[in-house]
Amino acid sequence: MSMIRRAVLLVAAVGALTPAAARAISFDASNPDATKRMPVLSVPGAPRSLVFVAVPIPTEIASASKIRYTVKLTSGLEVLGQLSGEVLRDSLGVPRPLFLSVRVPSDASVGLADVAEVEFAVENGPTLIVPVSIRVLAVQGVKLSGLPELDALAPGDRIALSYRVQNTGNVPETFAVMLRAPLGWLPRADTLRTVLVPAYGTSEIAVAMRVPAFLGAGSYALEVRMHRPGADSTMIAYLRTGLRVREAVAEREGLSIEPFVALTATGNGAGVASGLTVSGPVAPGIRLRASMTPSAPSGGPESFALAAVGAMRMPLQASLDAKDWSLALGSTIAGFSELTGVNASGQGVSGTLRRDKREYSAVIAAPMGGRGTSGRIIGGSMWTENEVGRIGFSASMLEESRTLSFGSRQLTSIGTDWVSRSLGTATVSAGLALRDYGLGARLGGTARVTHATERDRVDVRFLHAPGGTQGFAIAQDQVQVEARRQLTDRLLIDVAGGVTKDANNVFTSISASNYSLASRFQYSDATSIGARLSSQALDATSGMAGFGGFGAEQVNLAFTLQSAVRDWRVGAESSFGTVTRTTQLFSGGTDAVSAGQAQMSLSLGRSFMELGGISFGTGVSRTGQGVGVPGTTTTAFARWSNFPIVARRQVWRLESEANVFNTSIDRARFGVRTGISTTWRNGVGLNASVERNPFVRDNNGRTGWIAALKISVSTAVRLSERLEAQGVVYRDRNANGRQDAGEPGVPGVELRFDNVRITTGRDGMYRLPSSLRGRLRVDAASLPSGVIAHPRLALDSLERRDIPLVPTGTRAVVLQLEADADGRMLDVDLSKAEVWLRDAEGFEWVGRGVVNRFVFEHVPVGVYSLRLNFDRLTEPVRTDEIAVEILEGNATEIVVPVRGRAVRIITPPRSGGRGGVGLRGATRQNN
Amino acid sequence: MASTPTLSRRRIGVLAALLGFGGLTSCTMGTEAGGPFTQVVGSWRYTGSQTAPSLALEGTMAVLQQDGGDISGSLTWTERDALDNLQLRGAQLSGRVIGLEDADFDIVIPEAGRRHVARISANGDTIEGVWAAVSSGRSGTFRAVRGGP
Repeated sequence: MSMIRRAVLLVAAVGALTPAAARAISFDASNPDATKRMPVLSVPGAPRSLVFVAVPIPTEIASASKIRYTVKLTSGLEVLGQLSGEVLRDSLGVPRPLFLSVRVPSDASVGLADVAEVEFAVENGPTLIVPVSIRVLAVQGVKLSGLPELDALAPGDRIALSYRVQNTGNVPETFAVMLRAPLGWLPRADTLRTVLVPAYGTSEIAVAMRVPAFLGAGSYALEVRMHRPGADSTMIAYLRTGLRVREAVAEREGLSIEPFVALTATGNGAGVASGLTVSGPVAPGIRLRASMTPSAPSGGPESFALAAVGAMRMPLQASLDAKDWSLALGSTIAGFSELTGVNASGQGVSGTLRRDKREYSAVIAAPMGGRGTSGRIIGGSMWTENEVGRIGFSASMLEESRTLSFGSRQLTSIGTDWVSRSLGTATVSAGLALRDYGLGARLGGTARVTHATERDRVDVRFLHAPGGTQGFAIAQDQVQVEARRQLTDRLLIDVAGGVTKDANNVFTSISASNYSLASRFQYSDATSIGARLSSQALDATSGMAGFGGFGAEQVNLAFTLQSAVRDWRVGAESSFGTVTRTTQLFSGGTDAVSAGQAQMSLSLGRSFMELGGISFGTGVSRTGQGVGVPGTTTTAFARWSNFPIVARRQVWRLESEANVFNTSIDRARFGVRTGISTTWRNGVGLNASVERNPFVRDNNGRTGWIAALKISVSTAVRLSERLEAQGVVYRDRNANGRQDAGEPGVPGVELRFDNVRITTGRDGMYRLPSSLRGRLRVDAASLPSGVIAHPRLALDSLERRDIPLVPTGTRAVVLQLEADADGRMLDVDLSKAEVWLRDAEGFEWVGRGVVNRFVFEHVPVGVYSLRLNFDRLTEPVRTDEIAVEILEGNATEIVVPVRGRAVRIITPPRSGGRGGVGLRGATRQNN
Repeated sequence: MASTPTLSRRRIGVLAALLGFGGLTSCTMGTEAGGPFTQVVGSWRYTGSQTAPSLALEGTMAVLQQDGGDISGSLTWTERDALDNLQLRGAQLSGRVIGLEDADFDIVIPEAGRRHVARISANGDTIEGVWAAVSSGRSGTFRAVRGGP
């Protein structure tokens, strides 16, 4: 109890029985047989507190030479101090009040609690009785407990859960309890109950649910939120019970065949499209994926409608993938290196073969582009990896002619590339190639240096590719520099700049430059503020007859704010800048326009566990005449995604979006789209979309509604297999790798081997297809919280069938500097230390460090040796050998003292000195 | 562990408003060209290409309003890549006709607006030129012929 509180209570106690009050009770003070009860002295006190009570001596007997007192306890409350004796007097002869200490128990009910009666007696005089009581203050408190997780549920299971509400306060309370269950588990998703719990009492909340029969495997949750009824809806307790639905199965994935048909309705009329997708394993270790949508209408609003239901037109594309090779047929994109060709694509065959540390790739294709397109895409590359890094060789013959477009481009090249291994904090790469793009062979080169540490990153790139985009490169010349530094834990600075130059059939020269300076300040865990100053410039000279050139320069300053307010994501952005544009006119003159631009926007978003995600935002921008959309433009949007609707045990997903924008030069435009989709258990899927887009116009130039409906049927070809071998996944509590007594099976764990997926049953047991041979892999995503697969599994060379899961714990290690013997403290940055744990078998676990605190999360239980590396510290330090025990759950942090280390100073031999080279050492204590 | 300061919703709102207000009040107006202008209001068939990666563009350009040299409207177009994949796009059009022979307008795409600079034919039924996106560095050619698709 604080001194202030004690003083307050003391004053209250003294004031409760004043001399005036005492005089109000008249009695004969000279009568020795008179006994009189004084007014009750009551003081306030909270449960679980010590109350000091000062009982004043009644004035009627204060003048008596000798006053005796006796404290008679009248209840079970504990009173500390001397319970009888003689009243003491101060130096002036005034009797001192009697001090009592009363311990108020933690379960004291609110209201008046009798403590004692204090009898004051004088010789040959009256006896005065002062009753003392405590006014126990009201205290509110609640504790909610229940099952945190329920595992191995199966569709159709009935569940009975019980939650305990404990009133830890001393007043009876009524609580409102909101139960939020997954859709379909309770008659209503949200159920409100009211419970009355007596002081220090408990009440049970029983919940009966049923796992929906149509439900698939997955993780769900029942949330219990408590608040006090009334205007204040502040949540006072929360509990979440995880509900994991699993099926004990062993499935071998089969070939999936999914044909579909899609119908469209637009201003151009009705349309039909169809397609087919085949995917899955065709042989052990070999997967096939093939798709084509041959009969979709091309272009127009129909394409928009089809894209909305996932039925976009796709040419034939097929691929076979194995561990060491892959083969693709149909549409292919060739990318050899930045110098020997990028952005080359067409229809043909491509393949890759991997052997040891070498990789070979080749492609033969014809460019696509509709009528009038011809050419060839032929090339190959070989990469090998050795002690100096990755070295590649590539060659290409590329040609693309388009009679209906801007002409042709071609490249014949041969080149080599090198990517170094990590050189400390740096990585270096370089390339060289001879490029013939139709105007003779020229040498091109690339170089890149990247330096990256925890707090810094610098990336410098250089490219010189004669021919530029005309010769299948991304540009003719390019220099890009990016640098980033984490100045403090909260402040990040980012600087970038670059120049790109190119030439092609459209532009005889086109150059662009960009520079930016940005910073981001992490104001708190939930809020960051950013600022960015940037400039961009473009200067283009047209290569087409009758055209001149144009340029643009833009400078912009932007501010951003990202924050999380409760469960909402908040984003705000504001920017302003200027744009200057020049246009070379047909007449030969130059037109220039300069305009200001400013905009601000605000967006909000939130995900609801069972209701999908909702987001909306608004923005306003203002632009000067001549650039973009002049005047003031306002926009707003609202979006709801993944909203589930359950009808007849079938879950439908609904997505809706609406937006509007209004400009000063145009009327307000509204756009709206809504889509719904579902998949039945028999593989039939339905996806529908209706949209009104102000920019999509039909053949008559009108905007209107566009709609599409896609129906697909997914058929899996699976072979029935006999299940034979049996194993168990168990909780290896002592991490010894064997299932001992008391180590139970773990249900619902998924094991994988190739295309076979096995799920353990309620007892942790599982069965395997009889033909399966090989090591099983544990799917970490299927494990219950708090356990991981035993690290020893990584060393297995045999087919282990009993699979141990080990419980994990979290523990922090704090490095603490200690002064040397002479009292000096080291000046080192302990955040640069590296800390890890090593177990008896050599497995290591790295700690996540913030300043001098390193947290080891989800580490298997056991005893580890603490390993430390102080090489990056500015001064040598040492610590003691420390063993760290990880216990299940969270454990207290370990403080490791760090002290200075004695070092040997080696002095080189003096020139002209006698003798050979020797160590002339001295020892000093680090300072 | 050091406590981190928190930002109240009110402060966030005030800060966002100040940032936005600062931006808006700093806006300046541009210059405006004078003289007679070719009238381009109407529907145009739009074809074009992108240099790299190769894309063929095809669509409908609708100039809905013209006030002096200032024009506005919309462009709906498909982008067909070398794999024959189609992507349909739609965006607002805004810009200027400069005198009788030149046009300079933007297709306002959120991620990278495309600036179109073009010549208007003497009879006013063809607009042909080049386009470039400053932020993405992509560029190409285009041709718009008066009349529906």
